[in-house]
Amino acid sequence: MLLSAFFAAWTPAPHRPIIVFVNFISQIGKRALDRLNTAIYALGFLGRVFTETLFFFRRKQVGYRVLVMQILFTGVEALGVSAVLAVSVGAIVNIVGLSLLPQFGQSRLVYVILIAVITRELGPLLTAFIIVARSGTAIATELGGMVVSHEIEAYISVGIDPISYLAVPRFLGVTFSCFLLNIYFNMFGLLGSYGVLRVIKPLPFIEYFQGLVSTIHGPDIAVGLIKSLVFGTLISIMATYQGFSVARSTTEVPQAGIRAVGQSFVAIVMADAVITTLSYLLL
Amino acid sequence: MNDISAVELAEVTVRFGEYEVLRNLSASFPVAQATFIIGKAGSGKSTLLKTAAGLVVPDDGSVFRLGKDLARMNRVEETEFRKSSAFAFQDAALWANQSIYNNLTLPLFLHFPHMPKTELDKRVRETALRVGYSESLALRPADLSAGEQKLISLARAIILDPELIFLDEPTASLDEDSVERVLEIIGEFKAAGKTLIVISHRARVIAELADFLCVVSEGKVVNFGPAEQIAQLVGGELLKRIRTARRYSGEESAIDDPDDGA
Repeated sequence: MLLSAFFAAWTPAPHRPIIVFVNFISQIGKRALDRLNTAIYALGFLGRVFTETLFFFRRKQVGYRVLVMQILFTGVEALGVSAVLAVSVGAIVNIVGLSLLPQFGQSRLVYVILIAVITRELGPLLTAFIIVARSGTAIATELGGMVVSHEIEAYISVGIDPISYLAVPRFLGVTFSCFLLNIYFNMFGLLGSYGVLRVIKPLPFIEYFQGLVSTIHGPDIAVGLIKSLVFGTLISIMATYQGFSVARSTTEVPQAGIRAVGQSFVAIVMADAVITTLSYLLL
Repeated sequence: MNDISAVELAEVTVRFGEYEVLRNLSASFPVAQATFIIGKAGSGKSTLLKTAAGLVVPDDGSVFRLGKDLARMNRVEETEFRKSSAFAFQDAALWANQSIYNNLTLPLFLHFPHMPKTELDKRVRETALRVGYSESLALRPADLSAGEQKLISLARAIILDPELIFLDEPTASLDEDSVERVLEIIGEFKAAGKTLIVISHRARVIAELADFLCVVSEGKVVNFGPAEQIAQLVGGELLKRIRTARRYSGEESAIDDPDDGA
């Protein structure tokens, strides 16, 4: 600003493009500083959530109820949609695999594909997408609404730390639910899809089950579970952070919801790519 | 008046984006007195009150509670500060997803985790009745009128029997009976030696209860002192009301009343 004013006062008319250039540079600098401040703030938020999580179970918290409600909403209420999606995806993989692979004499590869798709990749990913769509938006808009209606200030005024009471139970609830929902998705994707498969291609369950058990390995399960924990963490942190980032106006609330969803999707896919790469390199 | 202030703001600046709401503001609120903050709409009264209560963190400057900087308090000190202070919001700010009962018990749960359920229930019911709320405690805030929400907000603020009470327009959107009840409660707190920092536009409320007046304009304290002295500077309806109130209460007025001598 000062620099621009200096140039505006001292630059002769033919050199006015210089002012435009300086303004442009100062705008870039300002935005970069804003981004840096936001990043530092976000890291601080993340640090506080993790620190408060360590104390959550040790303290006689009033946040237990919030945790239970969060697990109920994120985990239990998503069981239906998760089961339908898992059975459908599992059935698709089964049907496509058992139609194509025998042509190449590789029927048993269907189990490898099924486990790679359901357990390692789509299971955690689709579970995370379900949670983003249901809970990510809900958490961000709920917290944003609470900021606007001064409910967060009311918590602070009576001595309740909003991070400890509102963010930590949501972080734990969403992460735990994501973890369990992923296991549930796997069960329905791998075993539930057998029901659909049986209608199209009669196959003894024992044979199918043994095929899965002989193909699945520890690292497959571990990668899927690690992913679900990481995705749950990312969703809950993004959603709570965006919810708390609402300042004063109700028009900011849906914007916070949109940001929470958008950033969660990007973060999840990026994290998925990183974990998948590492898992194939290391395991 | 004690040497040490209940709350002191030292060169506090608060910005909302580019806009400075409080500008290098300093104020010292005395212990065991009722200080009323007055000023035009948008002058920064609510932000001043929230900053004094530690709900808004100043961009510059410091806020002290009994000489201790709020920004430097550890967790135990902060919990103690919250336990000994309370804030009743202008728009009630009740927790919408909780019942009225939970709105009142949450502060008790936090600060008295071992309080027996019977005592907890008793305290909640007594406090609700004290502010004039006799409806079901199982209702949600959305089921209540704006006035009832204000009463519950006041009940939540006083349920811990705090030493320092911040009230933002406590009588706004209340019917006359409820105003009387709120004035009675504020009077009881005053008589009990509690420190009250209140924003109110009602001349009658100020006249009856204010010990000190803090006049805020454009984010700065322009006048601060004993109510009668400041009222004399402000003049108008407030001055008349204070004179009348002091006459009724039999107090000796420090203000020269031109009508008396005429």
